[in-house]
Amino acid sequence: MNAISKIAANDLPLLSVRQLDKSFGARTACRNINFDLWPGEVLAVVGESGAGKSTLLRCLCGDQQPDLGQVLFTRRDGSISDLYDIPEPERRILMRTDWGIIHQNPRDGLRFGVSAGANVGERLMAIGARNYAEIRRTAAIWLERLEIDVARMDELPFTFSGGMQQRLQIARNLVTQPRLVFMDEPTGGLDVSVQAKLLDLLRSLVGELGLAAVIVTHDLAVARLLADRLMVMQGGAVVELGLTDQVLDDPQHPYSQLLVSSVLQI
Amino acid sequence: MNTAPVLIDVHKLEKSFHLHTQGDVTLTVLRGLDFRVTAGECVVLSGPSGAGKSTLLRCLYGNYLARSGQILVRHDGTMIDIATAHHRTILDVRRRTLGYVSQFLRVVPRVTTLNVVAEPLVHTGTPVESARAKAAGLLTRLGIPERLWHVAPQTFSGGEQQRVNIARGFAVDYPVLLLDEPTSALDPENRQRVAGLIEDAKNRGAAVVGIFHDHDFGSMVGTRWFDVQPIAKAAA
Repeated sequence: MNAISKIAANDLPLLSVRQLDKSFGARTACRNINFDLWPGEVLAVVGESGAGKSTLLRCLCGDQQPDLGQVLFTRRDGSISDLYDIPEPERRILMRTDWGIIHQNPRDGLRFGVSAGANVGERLMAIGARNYAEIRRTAAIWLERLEIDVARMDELPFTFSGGMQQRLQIARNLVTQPRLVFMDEPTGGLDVSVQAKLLDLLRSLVGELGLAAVIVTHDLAVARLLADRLMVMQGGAVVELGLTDQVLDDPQHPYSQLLVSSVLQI
Repeated sequence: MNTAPVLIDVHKLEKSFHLHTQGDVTLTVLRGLDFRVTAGECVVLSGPSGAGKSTLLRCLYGNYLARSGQILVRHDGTMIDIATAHHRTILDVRRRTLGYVSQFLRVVPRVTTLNVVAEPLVHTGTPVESARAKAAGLLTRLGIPERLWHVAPQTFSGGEQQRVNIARGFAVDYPVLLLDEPTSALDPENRQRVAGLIEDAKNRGAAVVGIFHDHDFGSMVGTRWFDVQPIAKAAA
């Protein structure tokens, strides 16, 4: 019985985007976007600057109301709601608990005025945790998981390196055990060696926790290593969506072919 | 009379590449291809370079999109058409039914060799400890010394990387195995070890399709040949 209901729940997409449009004045950022994301699935969004990737991510995560269309999500109980039809406070709670948002710049995702431990503990308190010792213990577990020395728990984030700040931001997001994580260029701006470490961490976390994720990146190698599917955007529209290795090895759309053939082989 | 179940059944497969950025050329590589493999067979693809042997393997794996035709693969007792299946079905077929070993190892930096090999098994739900035990057995069998298991394989020699790649590809007992020149960088002794793995796969009822640049190796492991000819020549 339990197993059957589990399979049934897994057969519903976690997120369904339908005919999503977003313009800024005369400029169209997203045009007629449609896709589904299933539990545990990682989707990478690629395309050149200005293609609409970041706007799409903001529309998906509740930061930016689209002009038209729907962002439908399935709750833990199986009920489906439109993200922009629910009351603002409920949306905020969802974003703080069931979803995580990892920004390219840790400054946008961390509070620099409070300690590393508090940055992680804060999300727990937002969902009602009140036992200080318990919060601290959970925060320590997540810092450790992201390979941050627990001895530095009481230090402020600005004393951390860029790679550590990014890992702290991830710890802060994962502590509430979200089902869906949005990432905007999570490895952008980091040294290559730090990127590799972060990629490995992200990949094992996604696998172990069964997280679904939408990752905006301009790095096709990152997409190949992390994503199940790849979405190629150009001029606000999705021009191709398929299995990551299929889109990279047998791209169909002219723009996807250009994108793939422009990467230096190393 | 062969009564072994059919695990791969390809009907009228056509594959072409439309190169938009290179003068809008369309290259048709496969046309009207029929191909069938039963359990316990190892079919070796033959034919000149560029005839489409790798293209056929990649179509079977869903890595290349078929233009038309059917690519049926037996998965959990039913035939799934890789050419039209939902992406989640293809991922599930790849996780549990369809193994693919390419010529080169492509993995995340920093992951240890033992974990690189164990990973596909972990993804099928096998507990990490037993997955690592099986990985250790494969690495031993392929002659990768234990001192290398806890290091990432990026710095290994070509032959070592290729053996790690083979170990990874054989970690799960896939019912269908696709091998794209997996032994190109191996010496005779290691080739013999790989032949042993392929023999075991056949004996447990796997369907194997392989491309081997070494004709003798193909004769050794293959149960039959399947000739892939360039379509212009085939038509002539």
